[in-house]
Amino acid sequence: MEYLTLFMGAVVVNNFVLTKFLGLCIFFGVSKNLSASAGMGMAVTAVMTLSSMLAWLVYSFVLVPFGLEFMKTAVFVLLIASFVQLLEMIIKKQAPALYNMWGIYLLLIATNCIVLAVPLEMAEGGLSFLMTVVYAVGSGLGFGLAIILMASCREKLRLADVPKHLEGLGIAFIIAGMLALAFLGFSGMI
Amino acid sequence: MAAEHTTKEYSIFQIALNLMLACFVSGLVIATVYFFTNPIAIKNAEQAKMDSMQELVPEADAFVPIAGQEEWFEATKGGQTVATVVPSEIKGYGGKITMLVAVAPDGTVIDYTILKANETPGLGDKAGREPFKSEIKGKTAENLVVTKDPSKKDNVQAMTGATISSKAVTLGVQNAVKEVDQFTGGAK
Amino acid sequence: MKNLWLTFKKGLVEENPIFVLALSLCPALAVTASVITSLTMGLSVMFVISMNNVVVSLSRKIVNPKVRVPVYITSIATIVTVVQLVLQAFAPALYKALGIYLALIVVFAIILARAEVFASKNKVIPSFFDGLGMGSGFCIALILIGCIRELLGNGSLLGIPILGSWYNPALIFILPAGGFMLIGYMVAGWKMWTEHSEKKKAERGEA
Repeated sequence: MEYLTLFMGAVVVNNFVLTKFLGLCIFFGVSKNLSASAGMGMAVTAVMTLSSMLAWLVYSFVLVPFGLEFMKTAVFVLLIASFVQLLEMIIKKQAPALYNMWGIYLLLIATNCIVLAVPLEMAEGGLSFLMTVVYAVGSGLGFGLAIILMASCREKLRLADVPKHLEGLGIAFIIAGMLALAFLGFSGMI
Repeated sequence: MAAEHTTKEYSIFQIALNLMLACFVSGLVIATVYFFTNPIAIKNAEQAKMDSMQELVPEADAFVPIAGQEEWFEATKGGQTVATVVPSEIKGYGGKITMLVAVAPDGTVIDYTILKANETPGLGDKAGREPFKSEIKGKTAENLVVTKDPSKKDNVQAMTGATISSKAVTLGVQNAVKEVDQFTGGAK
Repeated sequence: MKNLWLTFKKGLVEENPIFVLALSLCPALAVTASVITSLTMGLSVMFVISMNNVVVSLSRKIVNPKVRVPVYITSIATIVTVVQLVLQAFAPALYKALGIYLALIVVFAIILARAEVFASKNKVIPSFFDGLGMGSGFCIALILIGCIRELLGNGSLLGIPILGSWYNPALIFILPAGGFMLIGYMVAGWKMWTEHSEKKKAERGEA
C-alpha cells in the first residue's frame, strides 16, 4: 500500500515537473513535438530508474558504511554522467534502432536535475531499494505524463494566434502554469 | 606514449590519470571543508533543538533527555518537572507533519510547534499559528477532538477551509498527549 | 579594464541566463517563493560559477581535453559540496529551506557552458568576471522573481510584512502554477524591453 502511495505521489501529487520544477530544460526544449516528447518520456524513465538503482547501491554499500554521506552530491553526479555515457555506448552498439529513436536525448538527460533528484531524495529520506525503484519509475512516468500533455497543447498552439512577445518560451511557461494549476487538484489525494 | 605537437594522441593511461587526479583533489577539498564545518553544524543543530524546546516551555531551565524514549525530553525548572517535550508525526493534507509537543504533568497541552509540514499555504499552514494554537493549548487528550459546532467550547474548533489540516494537527497533538499520559501513568 | 566590464555586463542583460538563454530554470521556480531563498540561491550560484571559472581557467593547460567534461563536473561538484557544507554549518535554516535544489546547482547547464565556452579558453581574471557576470544576472533575475512572488503571494518581503492586512495574498504566486505563469510573462516582458531598447539604439545610430 505504501508503494502505491509513493508511486501515485510521484506521478501526480508531487509531479517532478509541475510541482517540483525539475527537468524544465528538457521539458521546454523537447515538448514542441509530440512523438519526440513520448520518446523523451520513456528515455527519462529508463535512465532515472537504472541510475537510481545504481546510486542506491553505491550509497548504501560504499558511502554510508564509510561515513561519507557528505560526498553524495559529487559521487552521484559523476556516477550518473558516466553511467549514461556507458549506456549510450552500449545502446549504440547493441540496439542501433533504439539508439536512432532516443539516443540523442541521453546526453541531454545525463546532466539534468531530474535524474540527480531521485538519488538525492533517496539519500535524504533513507528509502529502501524497492522504494527507490518505485519512486524513480513513478517520477519518470510523471515527467512523461507532463511532457506529453505539454506537447499536445503546444502542437495545437501552432495554429493559434499568440501575441508576438509571448511566442515560444513565454506562452510555453503560461501553459505549464495552467497544467500545474490543474495538477494542484491532486493534492490531498494521498 | 610520446605526445606529438600537432595531433595530440593521449593514451588511456594519461586520460585516466588526469581524471583520477581531479577526483583526488576534489575529495581532498571536500573532506577538509567537512572536517572543519561538521562540528559547527552539529553544534548548531543541537542549539536549534534546545531553542525550539525553550520556546515551548519558556519557564524551564533545563531539558533532560528521557532514557528509553527516543527524542523525548523532560523540561525541568529548579529540578522539578514542568513539562515533557515529545516529537509527533502525523499524516496531514499535503504529507507528513512533524511537530514538537510540550505536555504538562497534569496532561494538558502547554504548547506545540510544527517543525515540518506541507499544508496548503494560507489555509492549512495556519495550523501552527494563532488563533488555531489557542484552540489546542491547555486541553487534555479527551478534549482534543475537532468539531465544527461553535457551541462546543471544550473541543477544538476547526479552521475554515482547512478541516483536514485541523484534524491532522489535533490528532498529532492528541497522540503525543496520550503517549505521555501512558508513559508517566505507567511510571507512577 | 573596459573589457572586463563588458565581459561582466554581458551576463547581466544580453545573455541573461534566465530570461534570454533559458538555462537552469529549475531553481528559478523552485526557490523563488520567497526573497531570502532566492537571494541565498543566487549568491551560491554566483559563487559557484565564478570559482569554477577560475579553477577551470587555472587548470586549462593541465586538463586533458578528452576528459574535460568529467573534470569540470568534478570541479563544480566539489565547489557545490563546499557551499552545502558551509551553509549547513552557518545557516542551517536556509540550508533546509533550499533543500535538494542547492545540490542541484551541480547540474546547471550554465556553469558547464561557461566553463566550456569561456573559461577553458581564457585567462583567469576575465574568466572570473565572466562567471561573476553570469552569476549576477542569474542572481538578479532570481531576486526579481522572488520579490514579485513573495510580495504578491504573501504580502511581505524578506519576511517583513509590507502590504498591510488589507491585502489578501494571492496565494497562487507562491504556488508552482503562479511561478510558471509569472516567468512566462516576465520572459515576454524582457523580450519587449530588449527589442524596444535595440530599436531605440538603431534609431539613434541612424540619426
